Amino acid sequence: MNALFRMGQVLFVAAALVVLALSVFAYKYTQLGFPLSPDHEKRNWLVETRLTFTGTGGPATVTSAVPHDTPRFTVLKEARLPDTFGDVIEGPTRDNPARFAVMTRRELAGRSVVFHRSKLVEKDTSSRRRTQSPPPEAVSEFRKNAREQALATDPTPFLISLNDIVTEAYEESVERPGFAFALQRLLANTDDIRVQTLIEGAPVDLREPARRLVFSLNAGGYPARRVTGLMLSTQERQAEPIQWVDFWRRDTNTWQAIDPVSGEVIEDERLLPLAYDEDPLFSGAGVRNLEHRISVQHFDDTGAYSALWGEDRGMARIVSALSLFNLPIDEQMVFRVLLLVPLGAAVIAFLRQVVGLQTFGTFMPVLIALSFRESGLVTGVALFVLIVAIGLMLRAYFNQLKLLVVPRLASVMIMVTFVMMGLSLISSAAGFQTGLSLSLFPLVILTMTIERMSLNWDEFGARSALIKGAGSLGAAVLAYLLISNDRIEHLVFTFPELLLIALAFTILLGRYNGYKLTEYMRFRMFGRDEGLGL
Amino acid sequence: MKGLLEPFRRARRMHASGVLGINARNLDFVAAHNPRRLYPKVDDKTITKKEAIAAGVTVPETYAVMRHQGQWPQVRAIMEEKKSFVIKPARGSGGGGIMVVTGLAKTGLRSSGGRITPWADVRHHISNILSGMFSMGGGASDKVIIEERLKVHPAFDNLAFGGVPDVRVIVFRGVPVMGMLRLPTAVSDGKANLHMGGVGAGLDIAEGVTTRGVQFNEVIELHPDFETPVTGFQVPQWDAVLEMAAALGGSTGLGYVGVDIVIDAVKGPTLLELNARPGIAIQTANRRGLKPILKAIADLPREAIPLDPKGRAELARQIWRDTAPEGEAPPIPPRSEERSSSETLAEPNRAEPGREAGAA
Repeated sequence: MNALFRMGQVLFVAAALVVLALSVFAYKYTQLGFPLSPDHEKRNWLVETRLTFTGTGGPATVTSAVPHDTPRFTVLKEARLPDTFGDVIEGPTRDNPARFAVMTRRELAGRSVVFHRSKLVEKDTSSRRRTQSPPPEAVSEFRKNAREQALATDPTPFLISLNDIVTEAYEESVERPGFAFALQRLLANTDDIRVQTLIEGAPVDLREPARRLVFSLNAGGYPARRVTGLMLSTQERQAEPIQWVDFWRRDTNTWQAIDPVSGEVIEDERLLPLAYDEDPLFSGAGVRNLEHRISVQHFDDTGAYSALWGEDRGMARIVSALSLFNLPIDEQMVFRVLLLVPLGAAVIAFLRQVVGLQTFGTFMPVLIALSFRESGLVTGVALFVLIVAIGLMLRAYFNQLKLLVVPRLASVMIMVTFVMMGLSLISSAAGFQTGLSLSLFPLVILTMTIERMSLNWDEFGARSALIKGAGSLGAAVLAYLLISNDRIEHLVFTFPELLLIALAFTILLGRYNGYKLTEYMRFRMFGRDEGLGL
Repeated sequence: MKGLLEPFRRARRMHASGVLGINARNLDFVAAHNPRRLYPKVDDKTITKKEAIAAGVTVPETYAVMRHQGQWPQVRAIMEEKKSFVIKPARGSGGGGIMVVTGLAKTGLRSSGGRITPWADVRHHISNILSGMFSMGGGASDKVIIEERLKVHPAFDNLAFGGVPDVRVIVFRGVPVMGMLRLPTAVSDGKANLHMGGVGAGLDIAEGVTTRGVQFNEVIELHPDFETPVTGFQVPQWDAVLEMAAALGGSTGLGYVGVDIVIDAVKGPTLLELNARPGIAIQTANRRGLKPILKAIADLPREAIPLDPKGRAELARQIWRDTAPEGEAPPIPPRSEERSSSETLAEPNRAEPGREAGAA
């Protein structure tokens, strides 16, 4: 096609992409309130409970604990998918703040998956103080007066031990405040004959440290409860339920969480209780293979959920519905990484075409940069250099064996696997955490880099191979610096349309016929003012 | 302050000199004038040779084309018969995978430089070629060409070390644009390729005389191994070389090609290979940018380009002279040769420009 016409097309396409990207972006930002910067304080959380179960053909009931209002968090919204189960929420009651979703069906056959999603917002400190619940009471048959009476009439070894322990804890806490901590320390020592007697003679099962502590605290007059809940964290996408003990502090009028095994106070603000005492997190009747999984994600997109909860109308609803925040959390995490690859590719394209950096492979540096996300930059670079160097040395030996091309490539890959294993073992023995994920990407890239570098070395000498190798690494580092930026990750995920701008950029780059920066070096003799000719 | 502006001045001078960068070469010339479907004509040497022969162009004689491992016994027999030949991948690039064999040894083949390669290694090298290790575009397989080893023309005796020098001419729309003489050195292991350490000598397209020399991007006056001057050398049979370049550059259908010609002692100008993506280092060897010449040719309407190679060669000469940068010194007259004709000397060590006797 005519050159002018083509240039016009290129410019038009690029311009159209940019206009489209910016208009969607502007709409989302101004009308729907999608935020520009990531929510660093992590004040908003999405908790997603996923239940899978298989019906047996008859009536089925599945119960699951769902997030409830706590002194720190408010449940802003919740939704259940699908809504084909008749379900009610049980609770909270005066004594038990927990809430349970109870899903029933008259006839259930086949496998079902149910999602329950809650949007939690952290309360600010002033509203926390205002919403205090009435102080709880310690409930126990073995409170002081009752205990002493029982000791007088029928002193069982159990009663004696309990009394002994509680009294000692009291006495300790006169010196040093902290009855609960003193009690926990005593109870944790299972070598103590008193603790053993306590466990043996108790009317309930006290083998578990949490139950033991709760029982004894209540007996000592301190309201306490066993709690099953979550630590809201951005590190783990899947949240493992944890257990702890809450006891009531009269000085601050709040529940205090403590670890029953170590006695340490759990100060973390991100603690979310779900169920108390003997209530299980989930249970089912009339079903098989009941599985329960909780995913947690902080989110910053205030607008995206309006579509999920059906608030918006018309255009706003469509645009919101297209937001990636509507995906299950697991898929969102995948896309957070995936969307960065095009950015990396645009960077590499720029580095090669405009700067003139030489690399092995066109997009291998991007994949290397992605694996730096797992291992960290410094460790990643060191590992890359180390593994490639070792690989080259071993590959040099293969040259002597004179192998055919394809089997040699496979041999290099197997060797690289061993090198990676070896490095992992050595470094973990030495105490470093290398984060070497033996996933597909690094293995294939390292193999290809070693192979190409070796061939280049053989044909064009060390200098050429090292320049290209350094170029690949440099490009990877630059790409990494871009894609590891928090802000950029947030922007790209919240406004994926911005990638269209990256597309416009790469299209324009494809028509760049100017000099590479390295060419200014290469042709420097043309820049000298010595007069042309000889 | 002056130092601060210097980089910009340099950049401006570079732009003014009309140097063609790699992006511009790829976008404006290779992509624009070389249809991809015609690439095999120049990438695959077996096809190039076939078409050249059909056009009456001199090429090295092909002794064998090997397609799969099983043909090794026959190929080895041919090798033992011919004793001196060149092994090269059909779709190789940049001189990779080429093995020049000067003679037979008891245990294998003797290559330039005197090294003996055992038969097993020869076989291994051939199987590497067959599996596509040296092929352009990383193909999965390739053919092996066993062909005649060309003999260095005596004129190059003191300029070519350990290998055969060649003339690379870039041809645009059938008109030769720029040329350079590539001389093998010890460093380049007898290969003429510049990035392997060969010496590139820019050529005056009109006369076929070398104007300057570069090695590894640095200007040199003397050949590193012979210490003979690189400048002022007259390429023998230059008219024939230029016409061959013009003919081939127009015949393939590719608008922007590099033509590599060797001047064999017996056969004269012989086509070595064609290149659909000729390198841009030719500019440093010539101390001239490609853009002014390419533009002059691009501006010509189709009718203004002669249909016959002779006419295009003449056009090339004219454009070369017309686009000479201001201040460029006229070409150094060629040094006298023992066999030169009777033109008298004006100064010691210099001779009048004249055609080399001994040319065809």
